Amino acid sequence: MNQASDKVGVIGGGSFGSAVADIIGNNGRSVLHWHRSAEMAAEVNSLHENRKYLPGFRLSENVAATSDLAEVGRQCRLIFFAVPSPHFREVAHKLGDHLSGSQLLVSMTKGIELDSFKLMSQILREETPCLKVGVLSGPNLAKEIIAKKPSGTVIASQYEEVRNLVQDVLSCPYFRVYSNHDVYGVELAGALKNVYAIATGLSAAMGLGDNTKGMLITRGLIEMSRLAEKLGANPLTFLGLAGVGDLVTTCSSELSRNFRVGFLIGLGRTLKEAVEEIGEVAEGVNTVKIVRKKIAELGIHMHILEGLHALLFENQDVKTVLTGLMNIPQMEDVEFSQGGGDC
Amino acid sequence: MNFEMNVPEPPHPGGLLLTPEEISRMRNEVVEKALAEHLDAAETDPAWSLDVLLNDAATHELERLRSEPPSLETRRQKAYWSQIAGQFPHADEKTRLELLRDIISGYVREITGYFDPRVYRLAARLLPLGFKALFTRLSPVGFLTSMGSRFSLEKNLVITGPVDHIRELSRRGTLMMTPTHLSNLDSMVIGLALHSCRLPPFTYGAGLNLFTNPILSFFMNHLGAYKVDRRKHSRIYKATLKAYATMTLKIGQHNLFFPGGARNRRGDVEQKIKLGLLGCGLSAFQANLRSGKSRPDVFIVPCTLSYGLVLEAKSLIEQHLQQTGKSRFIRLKKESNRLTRQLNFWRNLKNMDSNIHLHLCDPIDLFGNKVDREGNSRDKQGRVVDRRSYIELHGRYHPDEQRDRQYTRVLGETILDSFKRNNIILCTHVAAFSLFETIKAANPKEDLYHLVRLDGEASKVPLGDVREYIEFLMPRLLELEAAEGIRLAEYLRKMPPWEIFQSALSHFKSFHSGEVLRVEKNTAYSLNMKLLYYYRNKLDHYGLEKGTA
Repeated sequence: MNQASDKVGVIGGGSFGSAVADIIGNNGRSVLHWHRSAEMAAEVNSLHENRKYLPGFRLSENVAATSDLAEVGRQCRLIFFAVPSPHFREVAHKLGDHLSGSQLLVSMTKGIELDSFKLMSQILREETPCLKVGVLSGPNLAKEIIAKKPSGTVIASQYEEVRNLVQDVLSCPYFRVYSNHDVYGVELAGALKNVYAIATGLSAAMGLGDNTKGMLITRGLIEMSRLAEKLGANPLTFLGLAGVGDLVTTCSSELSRNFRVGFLIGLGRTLKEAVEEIGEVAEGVNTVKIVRKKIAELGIHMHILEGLHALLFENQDVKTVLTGLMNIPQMEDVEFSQGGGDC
Repeated sequence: MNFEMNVPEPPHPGGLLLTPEEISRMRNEVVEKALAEHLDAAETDPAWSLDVLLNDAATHELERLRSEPPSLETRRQKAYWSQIAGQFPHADEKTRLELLRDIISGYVREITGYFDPRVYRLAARLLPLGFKALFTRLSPVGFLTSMGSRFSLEKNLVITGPVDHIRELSRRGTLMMTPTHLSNLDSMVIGLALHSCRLPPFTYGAGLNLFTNPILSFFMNHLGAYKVDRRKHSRIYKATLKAYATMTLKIGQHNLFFPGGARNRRGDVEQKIKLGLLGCGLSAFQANLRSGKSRPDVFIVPCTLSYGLVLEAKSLIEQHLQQTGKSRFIRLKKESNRLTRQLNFWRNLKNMDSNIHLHLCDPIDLFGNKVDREGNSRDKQGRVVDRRSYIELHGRYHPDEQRDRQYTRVLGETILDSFKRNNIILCTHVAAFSLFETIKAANPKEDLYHLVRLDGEASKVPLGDVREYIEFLMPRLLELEAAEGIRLAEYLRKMPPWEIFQSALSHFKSFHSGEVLRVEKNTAYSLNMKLLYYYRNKLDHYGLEKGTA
């Protein structure tokens, strides 16, 4: 289906883009890795290392960096996107000028567009002529992947060709790739879990203990599934690697940017200070704002998310938010087994 | 509309006018093609070996025949399928193959069955000159007009859309027109509209119901229709129907079929599309590319129809509520029999005085892209896209059935989106929506199946509340239209809200015995909430209800 001589494109020079480019390169494929800055591309080409985001890890020799989107469009049939959500549309549009209907595009960005509530795969469909689109999502911390620690991910696409090709180029002894048809569910899970990573980071910094963490994660899962069901995704998708898998990992790991943002706020930093200290985009912060607006339109509640919104954007203090959360009416444990519910 | 009865342009090359010999050859080709497809499938997938395939057909057909009214034809078919069911389990592969060929041939005859070379030659000679007669004097509508009906298609049909653009594309490729489906009148309305827009003839994929009505059947046969029996679900039947439709597209016959299937019983804009026949466009395009045809393209033209009053509204909404509500829906009167229904259809048509609006939407390609006048596909950003790139790998044609099914799904979604954005709203819809929602708000505890029983006194609400609702609704509709989210009839745009209500009142008075909407002193009410619900539904799915953002 795909000739081994086909280059694979990776758009985005952050930590995850580099980690994925490295896997593909290690699998013997030529990778064209796009960086926004020409200097960064030149540095990666000369040092074979992404010193800014993954210092100390040597990238595969098969990875060539470029800052020319046209080159990626011309040479690559399969193209992965790892661009922060605020810039996603702009980069997709620019690349779209160099694409036809034949390329396969895979989004790896876990975020939701402000105002439109569009997910990244929907933006790819709007900004490029391509139809064969997929989403890669799962518990995938870039620093563990580049260190070749065993992990797994999910490729979701309605096109078998996309699912098969992504499994083919990414599967290796330390990285397993599972497939799914529910693109919307997988993508939504990936975007929503970041919210709960901020919450668990916050609770960890405050020393609230493991019981709190367990409650935040499971109630977070219920909230995520509730929104997903309302928006037409399959809530069962949230029980898979892209749902529970990613949620548990992100909410437990100090490597997660979103967890770290929450942790720093728990230590008393302002949101602005926390984001500056992390240095990379923590998608969960935007997601809190975007989803808060959406649930108001839909008329449903996601209490943890609403609490975080109050804390991050409405100047409420942690104590008030926590008290509020612990005093909401108590409801069914697993609402979907009771035929759905809302509260 | 500015209705012209001029002689249309010469028929499109490869259009409707095939010779009987060509038709016969086409039939044989369809049989061979469908047969080859089944044999290929049986080879690659043991789940569809010949015995399973024959069993599937016999089981489906015998089950269908159990619910058919007794007749000579039903008995003949029962005997045929019983014989197949008894014969194939013990037959060798050669005999099974013959049985399969016989079944496919029977289906092909049935799909093209009403074709009569004598009538066809006559029609061919009359065309294009005879169209005027077909659409006026000979048609039931024309007949009724001459008998003094207030309704006249010429007078009451409003056509909008990029007609020149579509006519140009009909010269560059083969068109598939996919209209919304509300009424048995649709085929005639579209036939007349296409003719008056000077578009070339279309082959119709028409539901069986249009052939059982003797007058409509006459009309359909003259339009070169092939028959789609939606009660037949066997794999062999579906494959044969698709093979036939693909063949007509391959030879360049413009096709028209209703992608939603049967008439929409709920009265809203279509929410689902059947992908089977729609997929034939992509099959034909790929076959044309492989055979090096000079004009390989197939273009899709979605089309929306809107009636101020729908002839069969009463029976359609009853059927819908019964289907969805089951035991929760209580039917008060028994439905009339078939003859009475047909008589009602023509009586209603005679009494109806309301405009029919038809909008030809922007043409799209098989992958959901818009197509410009020059036949170029344009992506959502307006860039030109080479259509072949969707089915090629490294510059060569690359077959992939799963991909093609997904492309057809994308096309279906694009058509549904086009339907929604081009759904034409008339005064009866605005008034029905406003009154129904006001009644609903006044009865917050009632579910739908109780609401539709609140006829007469029980449905009374203050007239002022309804007026307030229209005043709330109209600015939202205008805003939605400005964002290309819906289409309002031109007269609605400038009409003061209260006049909209008055206009709807007078329309409803002329039909449905004035049951839908009544005004008494300072109250408004309905004598038939089911009908009110039907007309209200035209504005469903847009989040226009009070209390929604």
